[in-house]
Amino acid sequence: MTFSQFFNANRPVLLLSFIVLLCLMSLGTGFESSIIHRAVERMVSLTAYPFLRAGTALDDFSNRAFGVVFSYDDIIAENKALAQDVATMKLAIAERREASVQNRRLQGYLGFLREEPRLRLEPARVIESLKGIITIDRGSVHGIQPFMGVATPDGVVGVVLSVADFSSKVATLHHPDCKVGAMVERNRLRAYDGIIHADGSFRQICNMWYIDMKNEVLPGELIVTSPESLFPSGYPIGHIRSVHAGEALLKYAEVVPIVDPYKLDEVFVIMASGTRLYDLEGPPRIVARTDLAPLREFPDETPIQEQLAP
Amino acid sequence: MKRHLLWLVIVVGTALLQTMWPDFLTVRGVAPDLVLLLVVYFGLVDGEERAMLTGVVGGMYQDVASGAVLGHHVLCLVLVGYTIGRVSTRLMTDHPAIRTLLVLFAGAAHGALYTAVSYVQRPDIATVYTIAVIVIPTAFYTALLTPVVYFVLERLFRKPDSLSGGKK
Repeated sequence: MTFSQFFNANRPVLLLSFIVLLCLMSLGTGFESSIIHRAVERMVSLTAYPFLRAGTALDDFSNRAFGVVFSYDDIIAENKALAQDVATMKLAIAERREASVQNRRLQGYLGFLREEPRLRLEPARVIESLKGIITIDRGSVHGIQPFMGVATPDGVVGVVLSVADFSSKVATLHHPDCKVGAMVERNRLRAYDGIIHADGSFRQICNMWYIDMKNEVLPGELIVTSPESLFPSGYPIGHIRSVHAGEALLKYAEVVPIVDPYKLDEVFVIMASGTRLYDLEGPPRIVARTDLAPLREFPDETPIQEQLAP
Repeated sequence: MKRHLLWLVIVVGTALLQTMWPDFLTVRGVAPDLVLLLVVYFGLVDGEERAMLTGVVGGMYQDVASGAVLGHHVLCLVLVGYTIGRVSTRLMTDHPAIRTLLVLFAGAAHGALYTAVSYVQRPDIATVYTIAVIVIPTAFYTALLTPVVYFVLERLFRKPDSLSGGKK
């Protein structure tokens, strides 16, 4: 009998003997923490992992499914309550954001009031804004009179046009009825008529007409109120957008107002004003600006021989 | 090949069920030994070799899961599987009652063996109490499940009838 025949004939017994021998060796030596044990444990863990995951997923799914079925009404009620909470919270957040913006704005106004102690200012709330005219909630009972100046900390808004008992209409720099005495801040240059005219068109700009062709006016320069105006001098009105040639030897400048009347919530009516320090100081020193284009003299009075001389 | 694969899946799945969810089918602290059921079944149907291999795979899972010394469950299950495989060649084991009785005796023998090995390792354990409170109830409970489990296994592992030309 060959080994192969012997093995096939006694295979169950040999297998049993082999397994029992291994088990006895393991039991005898205490293979609890051996490499084989760890390897087997690792193999078992790896095999069991997908089953465990599947079991957990099945458990979660069944819990969710049963939860939806058995507590459907509770979930709907909870959903409604949460939706209501979300709506309330959104409203609260919007109110809080608005209050924060208003707080910053009012702080700016407070700073403005402190900076201008010589002015008697009447704060007013804008209740309507239409076609360049704003309506404020202050009228004759509050001492408002026509042609009073209206301003914000940023600059000039306009002039009071008409007054009712508890409200007033203000023509802003976007309305053709608004005319404000103005000058170029840098060199105190005025136009011949000394005022700035609202264009009254949808372009929402003002024009400074009748500027002498020889005078230096450059785009980007700041236009402020002049001492002849209803406002204390030096209040910002706007920036020059462009300068154009006008009739004869005159030119005109287009000015973009600093204050947008359609974005106002509160304004100040200037009830009375003293003399600003700016007026006492006189014209500011002309400082050469490097960020402006070089000015070309016009008309050029230099003789042609001198111009062409080497 | 398909049969071998199915056998492996069934054995591993049962061992996982027994080790990962020990509370599964537990009644008053007594749980059925499903791996032993498989060992006995394969011993009766396929002989001692398949029964021993079933014991090795299932016992290894149980050893690792219970933290016992490697070989404790394996040894008991392999011995039971070999014995059942040998007995099946000398008995008519097609009747469910006989199979249930065999499972009952196998459960008791397996429990006794396990307790004996435990006693050798730790002589301070209460062997009689363990046999009376755990081994015998477990053997009974496992035997009670025999008809149901074997019905399912018969469906899964039914061999083609040789008289019908291989048709089921």
